[in-house]
Amino acid sequence: MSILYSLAPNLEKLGGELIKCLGQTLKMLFVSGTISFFCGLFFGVLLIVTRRGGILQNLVIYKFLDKAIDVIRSIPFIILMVLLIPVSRAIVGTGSGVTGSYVALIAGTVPFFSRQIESVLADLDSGLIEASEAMGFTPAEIIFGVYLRESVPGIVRVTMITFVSLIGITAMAGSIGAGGLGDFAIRYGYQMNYTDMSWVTVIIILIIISIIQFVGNFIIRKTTH
Amino acid sequence: MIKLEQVSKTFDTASGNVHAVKNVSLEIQDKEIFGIIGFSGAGKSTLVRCINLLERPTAGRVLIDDVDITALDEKRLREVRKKIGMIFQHFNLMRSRTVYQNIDFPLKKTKLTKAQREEKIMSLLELVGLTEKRDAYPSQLSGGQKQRVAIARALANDPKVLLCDEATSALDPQTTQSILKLLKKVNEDLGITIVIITHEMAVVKDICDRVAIMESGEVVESGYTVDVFSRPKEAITKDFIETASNIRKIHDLIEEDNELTRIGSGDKMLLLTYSGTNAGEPLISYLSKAFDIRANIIYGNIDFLKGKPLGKLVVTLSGTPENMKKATDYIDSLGIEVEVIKA
Repeated sequence: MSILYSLAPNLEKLGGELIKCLGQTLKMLFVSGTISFFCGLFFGVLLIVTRRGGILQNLVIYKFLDKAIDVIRSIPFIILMVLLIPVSRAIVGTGSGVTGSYVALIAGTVPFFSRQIESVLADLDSGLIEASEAMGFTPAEIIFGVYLRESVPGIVRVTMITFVSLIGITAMAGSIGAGGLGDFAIRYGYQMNYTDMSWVTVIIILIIISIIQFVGNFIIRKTTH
Repeated sequence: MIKLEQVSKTFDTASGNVHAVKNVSLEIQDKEIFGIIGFSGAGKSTLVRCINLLERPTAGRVLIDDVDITALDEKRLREVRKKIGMIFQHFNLMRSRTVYQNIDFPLKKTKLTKAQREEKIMSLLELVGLTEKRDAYPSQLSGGQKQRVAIARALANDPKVLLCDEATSALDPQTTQSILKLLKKVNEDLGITIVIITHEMAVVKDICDRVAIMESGEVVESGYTVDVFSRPKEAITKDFIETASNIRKIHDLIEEDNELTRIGSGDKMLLLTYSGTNAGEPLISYLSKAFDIRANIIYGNIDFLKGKPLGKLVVTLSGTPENMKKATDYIDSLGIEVEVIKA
């Protein structure tokens, strides 16, 4: 401990605050990450099956989704967040704090992740889908048994990429009072000029990302044949 | 029985309509091996996909055991598809599943218990000769082994028909032969109708009972393999026969005016095609004895179509004009196909 304190002298008085902020970040990552993961999978699959030549071709749904994703993705996150405050109030009852950040974080992540999932699924050999249709599989069997099952390594890969970008936007969510490590770094590292606190924040974030990448790469190794 | 009635398939593309299949009518009998041969782009892959409606025909009907499957709803179409196995040029196995799991996948939705499924998978693996590879992943297998797994998977639902879309085109000649042997076994032992799409003459001549030749979306010629290839009517059919032999070389040699192909005035160079029974006639020695003809064999080849011999012989004949006439009349009388290559 004493070595840590000599490297980062402000840690002694701010340690408690830092842990609280870490907790907030982890909570934001976990809640919005989990919801975004399933929503992104859903929309990614929807894009693939409704596109031209897809197993449930429906160009109306496809074009609507395609455009909606483009529009949302083109709004900078910091603006999207402000725009979504009323939506957040309507859904979770508040537009600020950790809870108030979920809607914005999810809205900022899902379009990006859906596109990533779409591109992973599009990489799957179309012959495999054709073979599945020839065997008389239902669309649900093809989606779960072939598209998703065969794409596990790719899905894990893009999940890691998305997670890293989600960490980036949780820092921005600090500006609407969501707290978290980004907010901590701004308040102490920047506004109070405790450079050591900026470094500590960076190191913690690096550790989080390293753990995610370690787990992700492990899964990819185990599922790639 | 599979019956295609005036099936057409047109694709709308940015550059206009593409008529991939034009007005094709075919009948494929139960338990036969039916080949559809054509060069790439002839529409054969589209045609075979019309049989299980992976491609829906823009016109015409597809009858399987007298049921028009183009009129079925999705659910009943899936039931029909389970009884039509299909294998592909690039095998289309699932990389994330082992050999065993790949074959198990189509069985999962059946009423079979886990033990029954295992018994079934092991007997299929035995049929295709891959029992020791049950826990291997497709990436650990050779092309021929992958195709064997694909065949086992296609047979899992006890289909009545097996569609093979260029199933041997990605394989080397030896492996092709072993896969063809397996298909023949599947046909004979299990009584499964097989439809083979290919551009390889070798595939058709070895195992197909009947054959249809496709060119730019149309079936230009069809019938029993031996008949079609011993008496080809269309230029494209002749093309295919030539790809399977060296006969094309003769034409090249004539063009180059090679010494081998030079003939004296009054001489004739003939291409003789024997088939079936007359393939064994001692023709050449008879010609020289009976008509005092000097015969020089330039090229000879015997092919076997479904076990029946089909011989090709290029000879130059020389002799007096009346003996030459007698000789050619005699050849004609034997029912041997004669084509004058050079005179």
